[in-house]
Amino acid sequence: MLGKLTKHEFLACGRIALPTYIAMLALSGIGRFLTWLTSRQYLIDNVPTTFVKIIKVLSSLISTVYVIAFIALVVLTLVYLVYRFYKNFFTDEGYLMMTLPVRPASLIFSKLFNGWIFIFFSAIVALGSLYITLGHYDQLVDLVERIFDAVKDVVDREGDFLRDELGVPLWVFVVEVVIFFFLLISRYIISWYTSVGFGMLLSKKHKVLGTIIAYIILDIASYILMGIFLAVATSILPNYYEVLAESGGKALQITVIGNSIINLILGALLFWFTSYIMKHKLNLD
Amino acid sequence: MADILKCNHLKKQYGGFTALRGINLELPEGKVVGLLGPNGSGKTTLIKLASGILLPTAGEITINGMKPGVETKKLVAYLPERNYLDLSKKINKQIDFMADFYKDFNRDRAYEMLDRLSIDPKRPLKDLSKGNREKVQLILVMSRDAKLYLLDEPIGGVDPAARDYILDTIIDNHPADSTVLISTHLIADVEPVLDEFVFIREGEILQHSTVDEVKAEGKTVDGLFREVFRC
Repeated sequence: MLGKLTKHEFLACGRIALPTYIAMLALSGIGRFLTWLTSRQYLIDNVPTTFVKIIKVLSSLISTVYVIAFIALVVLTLVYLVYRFYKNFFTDEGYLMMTLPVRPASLIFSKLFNGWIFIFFSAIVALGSLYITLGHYDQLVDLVERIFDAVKDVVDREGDFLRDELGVPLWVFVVEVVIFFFLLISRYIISWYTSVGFGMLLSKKHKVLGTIIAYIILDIASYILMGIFLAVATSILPNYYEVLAESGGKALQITVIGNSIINLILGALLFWFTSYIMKHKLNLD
Repeated sequence: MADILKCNHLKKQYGGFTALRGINLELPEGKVVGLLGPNGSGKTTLIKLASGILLPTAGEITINGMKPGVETKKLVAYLPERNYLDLSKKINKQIDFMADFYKDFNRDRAYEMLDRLSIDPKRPLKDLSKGNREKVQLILVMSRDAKLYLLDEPIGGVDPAARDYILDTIIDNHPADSTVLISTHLIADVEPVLDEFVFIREGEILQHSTVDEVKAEGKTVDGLFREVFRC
């Protein structure tokens, strides 16, 4: 059932996301074309100045719209994911979704999976549109190649040193960092889902305000829990600060793993709380 | 005959307000039952508890011997008062959605009923009139071969012709061994299709009888309702 929920959620989100992505890429393409057009000497020499000026104004306008759209793409992806969660479970649509023969945990997981998918797609589209906008493709490819070479060079020369510093092979550390970001993003998405559910309990009339207040409360609670966790962790590892002073690499490693564990625990707590609200406290109008 | 729905001292409170006051109720399989009472009597709360949307404050409710949960939701087809459809979807996509989640969903029956109403399944739900949206929602519910149908005010707020269509759709499409619980305060309209009725007022069951028992006394359910609920 989780697969079916994810599929239907993907299709529903895709209906909005796909045209947005196409528009974003098209905007980049138009902007790039106008920039190219205004830089053609033939055009400058052979068409009236007013026309060139109009194209230049249009080009700057497109660039401005593009920057706004770029920021909006990132923000709106998250807003849309949170809105879908609210609309599906806490409005009249909840009468259908909450009577499907599936567990609340599956409902939340399906939203979370789609959160990952669309944040990933948005990032790809953002990079793609940047690629189109910036142009100079040869130089870009060259730059990426040079970055890769530089990294390879550092790994070849300093591999042993890095391994000693981190206490693990470099690839293990890279995997740890990827897991850390994955857990961080997951915890962030779930904290908004929890805020929607918790916000409904705080105020049925002012739902947006309730959600924002719930988010602030949960954020403060998360920081308190993090503080407690850090206190417990440093009491278990009394030489943590010594390690920190002696080896930056090991300290970094401990910090990445520690933060991953914190995000995992907080994410699990928030997930359980959201599931509890949906199962026990849901009261649709 | 086995009971499909059982309530045992079922109580539901919302904050300080008591919606159900420890009711006991048993509904047998294969009956059309009217849940009859004025507004605010607890009809919707009872249906929400049976559908698993709400949890009881005290007491117990069971569907086919099980507490409401994933397994009972497979057996229950629920029509709420509200329109729960995602209006941005096309009707055929909504049918795909229902068929994906309910094994007992009968696609052919759904398309047949839409065809009879001349509703194009490729139309988005947002393009339909309010009345047709309600009919599509009813079609989706009655296209299932469920064990228990929970229909909350299915004929409230519609014209008499639409009421006939809705009641005919319910009676023609539910399997013979299933139970249909229809909540309404429009007694005269539903009376011809009922086998049993339950009178509910201020969260308490006042009477649960068969329609034949009332008829045997030379009365009608509508007449009895007016007698019992006289202001």
